[in-house]
Amino acid sequence: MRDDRERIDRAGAGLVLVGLGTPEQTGEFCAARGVPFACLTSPDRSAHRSFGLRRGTPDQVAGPRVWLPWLRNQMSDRHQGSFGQGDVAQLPGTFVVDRSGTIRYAHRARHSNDNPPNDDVLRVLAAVREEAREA
Amino acid sequence: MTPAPQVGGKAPDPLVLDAAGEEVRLSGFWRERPAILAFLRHFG
Repeated sequence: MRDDRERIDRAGAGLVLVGLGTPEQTGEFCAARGVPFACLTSPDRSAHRSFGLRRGTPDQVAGPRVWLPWLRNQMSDRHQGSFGQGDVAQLPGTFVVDRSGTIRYAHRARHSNDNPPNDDVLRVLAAVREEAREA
Repeated sequence: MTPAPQVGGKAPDPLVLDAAGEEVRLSGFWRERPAILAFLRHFG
């Protein structure tokens, strides 16, 4: 998503990250990596649960679909860093919410490495923007 | 168990914490423009 920041901006949207660590960990991580988006946290997982995101099974969070790409990532310059903060069993998710508060896109990960294609999200944003223009 | 919110339905509006530890409503981020919410399992 960071690489698509310009496309997100052009779509007139904002990106919000919601993690699980402490506010201090959240701030340190985002500052250290120059994350240009809002960085928030829900340490008790209440925000994640409210969107229907649950903790995964061992296979979903540590099976080959997860550790193989993780290993490749660790060997590249794109790795995030070490585990140890938040909840590694929490499955991630991505949503698009329009200005009326309506969910326009929902992706609930089937395993820890299951991220939606950026183009899918951007396509939904383009549709939301077009509707706003026509209104 | 409450069913998970679906596309076309209203987004939940939980309280979350910013990096300063202040409580904020998530809806504040889609009030002015659409928002992509990326829920992560951990930072760092």
